[in-house]
Amino acid sequence: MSMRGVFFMILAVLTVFAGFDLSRGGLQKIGTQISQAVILPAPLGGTNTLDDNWFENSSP
Amino acid sequence: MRSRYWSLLKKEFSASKSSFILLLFLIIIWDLFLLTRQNVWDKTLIFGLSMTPIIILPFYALVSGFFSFREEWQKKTICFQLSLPVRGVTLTSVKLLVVLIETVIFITIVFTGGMIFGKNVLPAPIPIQGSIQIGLILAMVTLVLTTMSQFAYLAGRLFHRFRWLISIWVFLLTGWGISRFSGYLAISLSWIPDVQLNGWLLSGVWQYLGENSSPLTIGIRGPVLAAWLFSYLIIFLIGSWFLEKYIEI
Repeated sequence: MSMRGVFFMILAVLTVFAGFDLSRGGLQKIGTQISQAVILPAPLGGTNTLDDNWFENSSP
Repeated sequence: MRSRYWSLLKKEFSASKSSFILLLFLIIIWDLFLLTRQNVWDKTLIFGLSMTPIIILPFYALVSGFFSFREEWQKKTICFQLSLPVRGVTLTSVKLLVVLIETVIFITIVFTGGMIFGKNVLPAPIPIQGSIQIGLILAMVTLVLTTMSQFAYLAGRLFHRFRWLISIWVFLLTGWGISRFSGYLAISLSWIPDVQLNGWLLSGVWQYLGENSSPLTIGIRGPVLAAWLFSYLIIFLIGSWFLEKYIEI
């Protein structure tokens, strides 16, 4: 198979995987990834930071 | 080899010269305009507005990655480039280096403007260390975005039809994949130490909101950052490999 075919197969598999992941809250998990990388200093007044379960607290 | 790299770099600079000079010219005009508003508008607002050109940077990075290669195909100079006895990684790294140098100049000019306008507003001058760290982060973000857009364009070039659609799709999938799965790589990079950044900007925001007691440092987890950067390096190398071996003119 040519490189074009192999790459297209990889894209197709990744697309299915991404669709499955995003339908199961994958977008929110990207936020978790970011919060794992950056440790922000939290103010004492309790203003939310990414480390404070940002997505859980911001949902209605 | 070095002279060939240098001549490629010069060629790349002259290709992007006009758009970059226009961009710098617009920033300087913007700062001069703000200078005329100093006694009319609020000084904090002017300081904030003087830093807004930074918003352009990610878009500039995206456009540079795509269009620097697109232009090669449009002007048909890609035939010449690929006929040179250089590796694909040389061609892609030259373009990346030009974007990096332009980014450093861009950030320096915007920050200089910000420091001039910030003198009248901030209680203490902006720390040089903090400015350099923010500049480095911005340069890193620019490089990452340029790498992604370069890779997406080159991946689109593998195909004969729907190139733009494939490029956009590759771009989105790459961003999703790296941000989602590079964490697994971080486990094997756990020996890399964390980084402490000067958090003057964030402390300034907290102080503005009425909090004076927050610590002055922002921590960056070394293994996670290294895993991200390593993933982008792999993407960069795959893109270069495509250019060298598989892309048809």
